[in-house]
Parts: sequence; structure tokens; C-alpha cells
Amino acid sequence: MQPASEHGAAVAMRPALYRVIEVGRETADAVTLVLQPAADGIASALPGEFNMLWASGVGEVPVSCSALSGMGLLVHTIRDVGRVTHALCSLTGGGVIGVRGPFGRGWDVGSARGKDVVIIAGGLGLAPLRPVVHAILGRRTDFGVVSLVVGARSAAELLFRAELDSWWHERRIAVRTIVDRPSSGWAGSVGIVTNELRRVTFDPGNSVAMVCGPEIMMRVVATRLTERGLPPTRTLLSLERNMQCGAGVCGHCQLGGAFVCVDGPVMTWDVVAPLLAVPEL
Amino acid sequence: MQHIADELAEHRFFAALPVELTTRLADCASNIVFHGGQRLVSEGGVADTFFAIRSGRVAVGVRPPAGSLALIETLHSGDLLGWSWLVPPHRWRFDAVAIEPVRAIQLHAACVRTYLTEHPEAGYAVATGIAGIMAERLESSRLRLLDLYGGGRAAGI
Repeated sequence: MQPASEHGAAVAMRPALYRVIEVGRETADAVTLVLQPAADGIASALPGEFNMLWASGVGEVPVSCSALSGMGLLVHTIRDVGRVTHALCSLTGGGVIGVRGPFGRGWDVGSARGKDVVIIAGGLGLAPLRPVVHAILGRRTDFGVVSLVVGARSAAELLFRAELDSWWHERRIAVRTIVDRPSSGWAGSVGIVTNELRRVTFDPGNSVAMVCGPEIMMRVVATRLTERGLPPTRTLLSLERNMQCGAGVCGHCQLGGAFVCVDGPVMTWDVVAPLLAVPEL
Repeated sequence: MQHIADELAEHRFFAALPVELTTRLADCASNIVFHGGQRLVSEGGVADTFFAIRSGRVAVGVRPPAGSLALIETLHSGDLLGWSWLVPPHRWRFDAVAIEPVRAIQLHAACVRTYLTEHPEAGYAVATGIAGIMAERLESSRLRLLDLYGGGRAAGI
């Protein structure tokens, strides 16, 4: 088994081969791949950490784990938006890819124990947050009020729809979904995630927020949370940058003085806010 | 039975106002119930009222000529429906329809406007609150123009 990221960049540069054992279509342009190691696998990831997925002859992209498996399997949800992601989304059962990782700093779920937790996801941002929900549900009594707000362009673009429904019906966490463009059959809320966020109640003195989505959405959400009294140090965001080496060496993902691949992708709003205020950084 | 001033004070919008102002505005208020599918306001109509939603959901949108309602936003318990009553010429700028049974506190605009005009400090407090709602909806509209979820985050980081 290859070591995790903190054990050395050199080893983490060599991909381990994984075989696709399951492909699940989530939306028109997003799939979930379940991968099994063809030989030695990589170390297990923590919620919010990412792996570099390599499509042979095409390239490599960073993708968070959308679920964590204790059996050496990897679960990644990918949207088809470019050459590499198209190759990955086109894989069928038995296909082989390379995987490096896990990399980065993920969600500190442990720091949320005993607190209210507000989880806000936009679009594909639910994928990196899904392991957080799984972790909380696994130890539900360790946490206070847990709210999940999920926004998407349309109902057809909501990820993990069946699982969202099941979380909603179980009522162990408060699930709120909102879409920007409702179809005729949509009976839920219409608007953007910030509209729904104002309806979420939490104790700002004893809460943690975890936010993942397009950067502009995260900026607005984090600002609203701060206005409601949540300290920026307890507002966690997962940043998307051009991660390439995954080891803080190449500099492609540099954001101010931070390398998102090692200092992130999950960072706190007090650190991120000044950086996102810099034009074109 | 709960007094309408108490019900008003529990509503998110009015809870942020001074208690004595909410008590005074309660003199302009009455409870109202809408059934699912019932129209609350119609674009172009006289904006002689506004609503503090207590339960249920309301669809807010624009109705194109000969078309069905283009849904822009849903409002829920704790939301305030209506700012057109404050802005001349006091005509509704949108349509609103109850999606399901809705309980609301209806505030009569002429009564509220008269009081706020006579008490500028109270008028400023309410106008600031309404401006906050308008700013929030303007921001939502701008973000939606960007197709918030369409671009950016791609590969699941």
C-alpha cells in the first residue's frame, strides 16, 4: 500500500492502478465511479481529501472522494466538463485508471463534535461533503442540530437524489433543497442556497459550517454566515484550484501564500476571505 | 388565544424591529388564510397590503402575457411578501400564488404608510428592513444571472 500524502511527495507521484467496478449516472453530465485496486491500492482518504485520477493518454485531474469505503474501494463523483473528465466519465466496468493520493487537508469533522453543523452544498459541491454527512450520521448523537442545504440549477442536476430523499425522510438531519430553475414537477423551494440558508437556525456561538460549491456561492454564503455571528474560523470551505502535483511542489494551485493541494482544499473563511477579495488571484 | 401583536413580534422581519413599533403596527394587521392555488397578489394591481407569512409556501414570479407563472422564488414561513406597497406608485411588480395552504398576517398598507409618515424614525426602521429584503433579492437575481451552479466547480473537489 502506498503511503498517504504526509509520508512523502516522491512516492505519491506514482499512480496505483484501479479498476472500475461500478458506474452510476448521477445527472446528465456527472457519474460516480467505484474503483477497486488492481494491485496495491493507496491509503484511505478522510472526508474532503482528494485523489488525482489519471486517464491514460489523456491526463490527470483532482477529484474528492464522494464516499469513503473501508474495503479499499474508492468512490469518486465526476462532472464531464473537459478532456480528462470526459475520458473518466466515459469509463465502463473493467476500465483501468491510475490514482495518486490521498492529498490535502479535508473537513475537520471531529472539531464539530458537540456543535450544531450547517452543511451547504451547491451543484457538484455535495460530492466532497457527502462523506461528512455519512460520518455525522454514523455518530449522530455526537453532534447538535445538523442542517444540510443543497442548491442546484435544476432538480435534474441534484446529486445523490435518492440518498437526499432518504436523509429527508429519516429526519436525523434537517435537509433543505432549493433549485434555481424549477421544472414543472418540482414541489420544493426555488431560488439560490442563500435564500434557503436564511431559514436555517443554528447557534452561532456553538456551530461549525462546511461549505462547498462554486467560489462565488461560497463567498456569499460565508459572508452571510459571518453576518449571522458565526466566526470565520468555524466556517470551512473547500477550494477548487488547478491542482497538479498534489504535493505543494509545482505551484499551480498557489493561492496567495498557500498551496491549495496541501494547505487545502478545505480552509477556513478567515484565511480565504482576503485571498478571494484579490482580483484574478 | 394569541394576540396579533405577539404573532407579529414572533415573525422574523418584525422581531428585528422595536417592540413598541411592532405593537403599533399590529393595529394595521389582521390574520388571513389562503388555500393552495389562490393568488395573493397580481402584477399591476394596487399594492394596498403586504404579508408576513406564518406558515405555508408562496410562489413569486412573473406572468408573461398569455403564459403561466414563471416562478422566480418561493417564500416560506418567516418571510415577508411585498415591498411594492412602500414604493410609489404602489402597484404590485410581481405575481404571488399560494403553493399550499398559507397562514399570514396581512398588513394594510395605507394604515402602515400613514403611521410611518407621521413617525419618521419608525418609517426609517421599516424602510431599512424592506431595503434589506430588496437587497437580498437583488443579490439572488444577480447570482442567478451568473448561472451559479453551471460553471466553475467541475471535477468534484
